[in-house]
Amino acid sequence: MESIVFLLAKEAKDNPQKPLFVDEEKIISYQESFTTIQRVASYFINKGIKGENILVSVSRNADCLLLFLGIALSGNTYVPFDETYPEERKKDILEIGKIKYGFSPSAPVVLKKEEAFKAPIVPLPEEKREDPCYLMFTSGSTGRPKGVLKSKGNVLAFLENFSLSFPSFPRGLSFCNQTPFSFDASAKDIYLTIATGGTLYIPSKDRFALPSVIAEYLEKNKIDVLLWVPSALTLFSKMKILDYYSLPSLKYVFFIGEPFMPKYLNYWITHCPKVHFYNWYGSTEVAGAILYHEIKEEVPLDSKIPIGKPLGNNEVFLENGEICVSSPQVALGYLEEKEKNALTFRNENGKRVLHTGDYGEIDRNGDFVFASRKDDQVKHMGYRIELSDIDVVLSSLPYIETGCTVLNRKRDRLVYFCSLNEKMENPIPTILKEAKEKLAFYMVPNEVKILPSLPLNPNGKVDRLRLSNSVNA
Amino acid sequence: MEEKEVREQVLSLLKDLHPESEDLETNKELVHSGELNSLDIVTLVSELSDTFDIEISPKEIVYENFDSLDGLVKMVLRLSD
Repeated sequence: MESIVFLLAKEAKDNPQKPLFVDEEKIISYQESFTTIQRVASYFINKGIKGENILVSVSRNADCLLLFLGIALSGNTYVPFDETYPEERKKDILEIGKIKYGFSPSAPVVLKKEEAFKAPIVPLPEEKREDPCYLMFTSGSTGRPKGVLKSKGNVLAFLENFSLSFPSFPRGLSFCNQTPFSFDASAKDIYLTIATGGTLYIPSKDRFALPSVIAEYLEKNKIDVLLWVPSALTLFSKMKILDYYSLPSLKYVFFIGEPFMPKYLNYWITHCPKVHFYNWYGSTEVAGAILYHEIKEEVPLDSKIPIGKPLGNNEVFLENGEICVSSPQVALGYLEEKEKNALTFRNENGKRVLHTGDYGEIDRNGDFVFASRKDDQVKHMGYRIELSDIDVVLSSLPYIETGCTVLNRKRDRLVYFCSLNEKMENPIPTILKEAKEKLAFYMVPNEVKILPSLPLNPNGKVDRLRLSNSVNA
Repeated sequence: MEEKEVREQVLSLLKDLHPESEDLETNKELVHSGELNSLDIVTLVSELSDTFDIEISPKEIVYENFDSLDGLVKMVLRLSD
């Protein structure tokens, strides 16, 4: 595979009118997308901007994706940016990413997408695999977000390994995006769609809150492929949506990002007998997925769904129980985190090996199975969170003495335990209100519990495990 | 059931979900505005079913019924008949 844009251009030549992106307002064909992406790239060439990290305010529409691809084509790096994030987090991103320009009101120099979409096309630079492609920020354990830089080669390696393991995956299928563009999971939707000459549908976010609304959207648009997080799929199971909507067009469901409870997966399997179900495993530190596992029939209720075997040529192994991977899909690294980089992206025996921080096992079928997390990283509603990220931010509130967030895994609720250092009237609504302002939406605790003091472990640190056990009993 | 009683109980359920929100009674875009996310909807449907002993089919889980307190109350009264 030469380059992502090359794949797009080829489809634009073979099927110019084929839709690539369909959002709530318009349908953009391969031909139109190819033209617009070249214009966006030309815009940067004309301005002499090269090698920069360019902010893009994410929005659930084709424009956002055309900006992503155009920026990458121009020899710059796109940085998906959520304008609804709290000020502190946005400031950190601007600082860590050394952002000068952006299609965002938060950028030091604000660029206008209307200008970029109209720019005259000029000769464009040759694309190299090692060129940075995008910079994705994720929750950091110190309260400061981590920026993961990935190259075009990382993305192409994922697409190549995908075609090795899925050699008969059909071209021209319709995908329905669920994961937000400010999260890494969405990159698979974008790039797999282009690589297979498919169409990516982008429904508005509020459709997902009401399962029958999104189910109707899937049927109306004859969606073939879902690449969703289990939380979104679980909604359908809990609300028995498939008793009313049979999703006749559906062919593939890939789920990734968090464990899927067997009873909820089984509901899908029994109601969609023609669909192929795959569990995928990856992380923001790699492009795409590195392990995959097909589930062909209902799984036993007390079992763990394996994460499976390596995708394509990925080398995946256990080192001291930790899942490690050596592969061209492994990201270039974290920006600005020398120590973290050295611990996470190690050089071993002449190879670059990612230490995922996930503990795993290999079952008797040779499939990897996820065991537990090394640190305090959790998944909530499908989003990755470092629990201490929430703690650090909320402890800045003057009336909080100590705080500790845990996850109620069964109900997928974040519970913030804290002790106060002053008497307060109505502390819980106050804390939640502040949390809504200071934390990204997916990190806001669902419950606050006030204790006279928090339990300490023998090291004198707050005993998160004990608090976690108390809610997960 | 009396509408006033239903209203009070539904509002109380909403307040349990979001103790920090001040406009639950007046917000006409609870779902559209993102005030209620998908997890909230699941919890709310479950609580409404238990509290009022009604069955809420997926066809009822639409904007018209869930975007406002009024919508929720109307739905509960209709399903309680």
